[in-house]
Amino acid sequence: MKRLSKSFKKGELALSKVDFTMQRGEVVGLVGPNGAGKTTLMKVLSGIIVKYDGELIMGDQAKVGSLIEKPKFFPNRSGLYNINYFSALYGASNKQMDDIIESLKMASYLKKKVKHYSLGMKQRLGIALALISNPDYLILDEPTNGMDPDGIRNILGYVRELVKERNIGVLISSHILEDVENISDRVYVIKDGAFVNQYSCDREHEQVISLAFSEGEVHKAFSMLGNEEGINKQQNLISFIYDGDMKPILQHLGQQEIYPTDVKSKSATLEDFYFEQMKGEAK
Amino acid sequence: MNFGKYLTLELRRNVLSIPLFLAIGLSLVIGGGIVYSIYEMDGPFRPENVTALYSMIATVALGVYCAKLVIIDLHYGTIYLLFTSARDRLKFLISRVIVIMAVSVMFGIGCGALVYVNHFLNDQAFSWGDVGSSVFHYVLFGVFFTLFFLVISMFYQKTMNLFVLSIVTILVLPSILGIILQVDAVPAFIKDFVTYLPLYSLPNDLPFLELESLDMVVVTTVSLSLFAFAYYRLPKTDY
Ligand SMILES: Nc1ncnc2c1ncn2[C@@H]1O[C@H](COP(=O)(O)OP(=O)(O)O)[C@@H](O)[C@H]1O
Ligand SMILES: [Mg+2]
Repeated sequence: MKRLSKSFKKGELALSKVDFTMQRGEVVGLVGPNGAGKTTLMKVLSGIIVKYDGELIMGDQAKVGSLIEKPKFFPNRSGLYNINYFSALYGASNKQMDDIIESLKMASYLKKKVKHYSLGMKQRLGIALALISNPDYLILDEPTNGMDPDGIRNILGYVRELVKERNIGVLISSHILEDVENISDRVYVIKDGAFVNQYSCDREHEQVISLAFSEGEVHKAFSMLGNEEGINKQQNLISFIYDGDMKPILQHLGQQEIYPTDVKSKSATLEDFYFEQMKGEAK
Repeated sequence: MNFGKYLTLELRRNVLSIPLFLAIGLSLVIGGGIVYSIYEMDGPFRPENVTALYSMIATVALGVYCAKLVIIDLHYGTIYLLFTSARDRLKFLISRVIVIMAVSVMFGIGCGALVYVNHFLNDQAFSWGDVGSSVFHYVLFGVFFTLFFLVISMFYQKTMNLFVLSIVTILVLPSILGIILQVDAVPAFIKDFVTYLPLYSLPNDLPFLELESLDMVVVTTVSLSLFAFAYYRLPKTDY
């Protein structure tokens, strides 16, 4: 899709000129603060929101299945009823449904009424229903919300499996950055309706450098390094994402007789990237 | 989405439903009270009193059905599984009309049956046309209000408020419109307008099954217009 914008009646732009592409067979993550426009983007992609500016190009008859916001489904009916109902509509075979039920480990509570489900159970039902139409693309809006760690691992593993076996494309949002990083091939960071940056999960990762200084010198060091991108100061620690040679930096500090008391580096994660983006935008 | 399957499932869910049978049963009991008192005391009621008493519960229940039918998928979030393409949205629209017709026919048959029993027990006037008229009245009522609430829900999607609004429309609005008709200062053309407004004529005339032909034409025309509007706009509406 190209230059996609969406505004609601109150005039605020919920999505602003977003360029976005994804292919089958890849997992794309979507992260950003509340109100950033993640759900809105997902609603556009799944055909729930139809009024927007810009262009949405989909492959021929690409089918999209989605779990967006938190549906109650038919709460007075069992999970099984819900599954049978929607698989009748979309022509899913019993075998197909049994596979989904088994993979999502839903069998034990399938006969219970959906209103008695925990959030995690409902999310699984939602994923099962999103898969019923045998989609080419799967859109999951915060699917791991309210799930226990086992459940999260199970769901993410299953999604990965689906991608591999059926070559579907997955767009997934979550506030748990680690999960998004683990499952995605690349991640869009979205804020105030615009894509801030894109993070590739398989690239040679940059390093997060942390330099510790003594109390007296930390301010001076901070002002000297102030032009490093995404620099961050916490007490006597200064950290930034950097993938170059450390020598010039240390030399630069050395000219003013400032030396760090400690130097540490670790691989940058989506989390570091995310906070860097959020800060960069705030300037 | 497979329209045939969808329609079958929705008919089964809404027509073979315990609340529907309870509502019709209760209407029959209340209308039956009149039939019984005519039987015991030989009057003073007429068949129109029978249909009016029957309609006390029946119109409210049917109105609730109309609202429920268009609001519930929004409320449950199942709309996200149903509204993913323009075609599916139109299938939804058409299925709503067919389902409410079926539900309305049930209410209409209940009413017709009661009039027949009254005739059988009390020897009061009856013709098969009464049954047809009763079914027709209920279908007009059901289809109009379903489409009316559906169109509102295309602009305003807070489901709880929508539901309250629907109840008010059926229970309170007709009396308010009735008051307008009583005020001398209101110009005659406004009074005419209100009289033929389906929001007024349907709840007022359905109890006695006394919609005039012109009322029926107006209700049908307005319903068709609402349908056309929904057909055109529903695929272009954000959810
Ligand atoms: N139906 C709506 N009407 C008006 N504003 C909306 C609507 N849905 C979302 N918004 C606004 O659009 C922005 C993006 O919301 P959303 O896409 O839900 O964010 P996210 O899912 O990233 O938390 C928010 O400012 C929100 O208030
Ligand atoms: Mg959201």
